[in-house]
Amino acid sequence: MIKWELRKLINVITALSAAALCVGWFFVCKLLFVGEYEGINGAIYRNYIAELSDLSFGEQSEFIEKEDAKIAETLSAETEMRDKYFLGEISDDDYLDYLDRLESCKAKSETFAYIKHKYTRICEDPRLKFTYDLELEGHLTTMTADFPLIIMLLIFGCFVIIPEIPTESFILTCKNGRRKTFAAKLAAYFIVCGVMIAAFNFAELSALFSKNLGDLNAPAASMEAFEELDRDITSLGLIVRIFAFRLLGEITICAMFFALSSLCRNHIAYFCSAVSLVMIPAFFASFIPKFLRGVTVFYTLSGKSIPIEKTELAVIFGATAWIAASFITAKSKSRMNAD
Amino acid sequence: MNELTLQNVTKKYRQKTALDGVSLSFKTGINALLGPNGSGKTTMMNIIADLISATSGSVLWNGASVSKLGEKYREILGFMPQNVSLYKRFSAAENLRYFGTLKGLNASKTELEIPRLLEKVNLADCADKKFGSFSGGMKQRLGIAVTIMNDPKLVIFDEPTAGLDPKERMRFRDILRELSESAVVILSTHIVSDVEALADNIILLKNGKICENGSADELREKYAPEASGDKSALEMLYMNFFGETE
Repeated sequence: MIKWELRKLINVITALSAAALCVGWFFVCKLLFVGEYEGINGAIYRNYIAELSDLSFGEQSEFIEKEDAKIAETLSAETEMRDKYFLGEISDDDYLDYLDRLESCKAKSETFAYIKHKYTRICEDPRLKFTYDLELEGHLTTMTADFPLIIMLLIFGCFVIIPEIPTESFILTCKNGRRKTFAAKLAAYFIVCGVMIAAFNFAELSALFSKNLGDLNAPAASMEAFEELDRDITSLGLIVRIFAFRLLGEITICAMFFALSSLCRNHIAYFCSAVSLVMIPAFFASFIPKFLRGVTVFYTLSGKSIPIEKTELAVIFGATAWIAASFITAKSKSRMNAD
Repeated sequence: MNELTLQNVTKKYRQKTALDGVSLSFKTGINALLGPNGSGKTTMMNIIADLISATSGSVLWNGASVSKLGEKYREILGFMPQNVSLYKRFSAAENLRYFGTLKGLNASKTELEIPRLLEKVNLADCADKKFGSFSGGMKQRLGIAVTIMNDPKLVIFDEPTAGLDPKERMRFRDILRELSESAVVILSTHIVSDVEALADNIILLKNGKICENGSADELREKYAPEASGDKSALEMLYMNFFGETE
């Protein structure tokens, strides 16, 4: 029966829909959310990152110094240049050129301040250079790292139970049409999702390990998240930790999509609720780090740190609760209930 | 001899009572449910098929509650809903294979049965055609094949001849007659001529209650004696009861 459920779930239309929505959403994220996530001008931020990524660490340091000096000089000269212009010491064209530079610097100043702050932290704490070099920071959030995967999981959730509704009467009156069919659907869905999750994370891990990681048993950098590690952890341990929690999150989301598929009676209701389920916490989480950065500054000043074990335990508990709740909801709300 | 019994079955939906204290017995043969729209025919069929539960009362199959029988009941059950919807991407043969698996039939036995079933419903040439490309009548016929493939002892048909041309309706009547020799067949239809030609027992339903229950001859004699032997006697009876025409 699992074979039949897999045949129903995997088809060209489903795959193409998933791929198309995934790619489209990825670009929407890039265009709309990167800037919002960072709270700054997304286009300017991406330009700076693109320029910096082509430079070595030493060249980046030089670039930031020069850019900082340039912006500071332009901004500080505003009054002086205005006075010079009114006194006729500079021409109209020169003043207009200056005003263009001033406008550009004003637009860039906040964004550059963030880039400088990020870079300064890395310079002050060599451990942060580790995560920066390996672009591990991106792996800590789901907004940019595994969002395409989440979208694909969402699409496949759409095709688990809702398309069965017109055929329900036939299925539910068959000998194996209830509990065994429900179990087969659950198994087929998690097989498909498991393959996608494994493939996606394997590809990311392969890309990660293709870089020069150095000594994996050496102490790793601190995660640039809203918590500070309260103990030493090796590079390998850090990578394993990051991917383990991502996997847990992805499996939890699969369970939630399956439950939604059982609850909703049409694709639109499923799609709206599934997107809300993913996006609302994601939007919330995108602002939490900013808030908690402020909070952890006070913690750091007071000499306290937030132990990571508490957060990990909370995540494991939350994920277990969500998976169990999703399964129970799906089973009770699906008409394929117990015999 | 198999028997399906409804004991004081009531089904309420918020403000509406779809079935009101219905007690009935269905024996081997063809039992037809006649009634206007909203009389409770589909609700009764869904309760018998254990798709919905009654608000009160019980449904018994050979003395045992159908909800407690579970898989054993569904093993002998064949149900064809009003709107036949199978899997569009599967061919006729694949749909039968899939439902053979769902019905717990042996795979090799199903494979041998598929040509016979398709021949029976006049779809032998369409074994490899996708269900999505079928006409309404063809879909209905494949639905009939799926319903009878497990040799059910209790078969429920909800408007089975909708969309069938007269030739196919004749073919379907033959299938029903063959089934009714060993199974309890419950048929819901608006087509009075089908009922007249086939039914051993007719149940008239109105507003969730049984108005009358008997063979076609008994009902004709009781309610339209002036029309005895007339082809439209049952139609007259229908109009007398429900004030509607076919």
